[in-house]
Amino acid sequence: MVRMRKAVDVRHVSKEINGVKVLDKVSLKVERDERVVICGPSGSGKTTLIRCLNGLSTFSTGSVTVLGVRLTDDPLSIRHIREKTGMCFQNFNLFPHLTILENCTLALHHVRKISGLKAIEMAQHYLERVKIIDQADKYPVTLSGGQQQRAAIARALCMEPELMLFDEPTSALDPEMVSEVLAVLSDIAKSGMTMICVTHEMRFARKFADKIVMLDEGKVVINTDTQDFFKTTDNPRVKSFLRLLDKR
Amino acid sequence: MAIHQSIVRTRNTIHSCFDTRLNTLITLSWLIVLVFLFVPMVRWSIIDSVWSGSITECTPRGACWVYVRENARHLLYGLYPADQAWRVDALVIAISAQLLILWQVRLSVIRLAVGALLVIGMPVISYFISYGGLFGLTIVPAQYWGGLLFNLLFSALSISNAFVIGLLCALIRQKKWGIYSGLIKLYIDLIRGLPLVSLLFFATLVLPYFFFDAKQSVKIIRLYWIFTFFGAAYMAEAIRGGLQSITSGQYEAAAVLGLSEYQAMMYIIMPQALEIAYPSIMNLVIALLKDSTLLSTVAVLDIVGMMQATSARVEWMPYAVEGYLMIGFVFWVLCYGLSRISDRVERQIKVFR
Repeated sequence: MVRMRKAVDVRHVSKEINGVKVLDKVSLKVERDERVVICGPSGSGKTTLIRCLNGLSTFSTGSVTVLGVRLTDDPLSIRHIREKTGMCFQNFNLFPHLTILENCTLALHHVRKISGLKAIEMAQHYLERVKIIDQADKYPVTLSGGQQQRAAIARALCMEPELMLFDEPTSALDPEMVSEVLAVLSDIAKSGMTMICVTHEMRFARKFADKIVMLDEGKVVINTDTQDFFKTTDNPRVKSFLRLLDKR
Repeated sequence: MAIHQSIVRTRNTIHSCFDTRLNTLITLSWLIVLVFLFVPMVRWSIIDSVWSGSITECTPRGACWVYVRENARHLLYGLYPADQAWRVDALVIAISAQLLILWQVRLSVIRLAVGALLVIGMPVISYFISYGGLFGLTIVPAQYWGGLLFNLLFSALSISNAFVIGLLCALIRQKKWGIYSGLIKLYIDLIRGLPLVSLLFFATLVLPYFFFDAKQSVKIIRLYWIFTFFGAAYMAEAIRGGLQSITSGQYEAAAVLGLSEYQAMMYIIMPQALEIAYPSIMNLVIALLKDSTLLSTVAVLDIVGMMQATSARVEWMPYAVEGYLMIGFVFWVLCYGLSRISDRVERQIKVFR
């Protein structure tokens, strides 16, 4: 029964900031074990949408249900959702005063109450998976952007979430570091994790996404299977967006 | 290699002092000023000075360090009875040990326990051990307390308390808890707008009309809390500066990992904010340590008050200058030591920034 529930169910969510509609009646369904890529031009509301899923941003109307928990003003509902959801940011947001390993073990200690050695083993397991186990005792500032983002992914995976949210994980990276982060993302995608990823990397989307959602000016322009998305050349907005990306 | 480099650097420096006619002129005039300033100073304070023996050997030509020697006990302990001085020594040792533990030990449980003891327990314990009356200790009223060790104990405890109060004030202001944040802002602006001396006089002369009587032992408590709240206002601003430089991304990263607001503050935000605020906090510690000598203006026999009291005796009267110089030297050593320590900690912090 539980497995049948949708991972994410967003219904008619709207959000307005100073009279500008950031999100305009957005609806989105994500099944379990599904990988969804959200794309769209900048300012289209992609980041706001993904931040609404775990309560980092608020919305004015509509409803959001994540992993069977309805998101309300009640801090308890937000906590339930965050316990089962991991998130990675554009700017990594590693904790600069802690080593990479400590970044990973901190929440294990204090949230999941896993003690010393066990927590370190878990952290090492995930650091190995993102291939930066040799950097475990360094401080974030000494790492490259790509390594930092992989550390941030390991930190999120340590919590063993059921759903992973990625908010433009490669946008702040130098081009030569994008591929190493995408390799990690692909690895996670292959493992069957439910993923929602805001990204401009359409090649990654084509290969690993089950579904592609395109936003523009706060509205869902297109919400379709990956194959259909790249075939839908008749949609002028998709066409212009893809052309824009090709130019980069 | 390093020696060679420093020789080269010295040679270059010397060369650059005389490389043009103007530079030679500037260098020579500085040398003349130095000679005129320092030669008499060194002669007075070292060559012609009297270090030992009796006061009768002192001449007006040189410094009379005998004065400092003869009064050393008073300048250290104030008028605290000699047979009871071990109580002050014990307090100095206990508080130094606690500060050392807080500085060096990394284990958070021990730090928390020692910190709580220092901030909540030690002011009370110190008061009762100094005052006596308990456990068969002789009563030593506060007008006998004083000297350098009083300055050190008073400022160490007061600064520790001010740090905690300042931390709480900074947090409340940061959280924007309506009226409480407003009240804290009012308190900080009020304290920052008043000179410390006026606050000390307020505690000595005005407060007794409202609460507590004018007894010296209670006066010390009033002065302690005024001094503490004075420091706390500045601490709050220093720490708030650190808090404001933490980006929202850090709060968000902590939140999505499931850390509670308290845990995020405790393990993520505060450690970083305090590291950033560290230089200004140390600056404040040094300033407050020096400010503790202002207690002499309200008839507390701290090191300055004690010095003034001893030099009021006829035979010591000509030698007050030696006393002031000695105090200046002692405080310079203390503050220089503190700033060396703070430099070292700052360098450690830079490693991961």
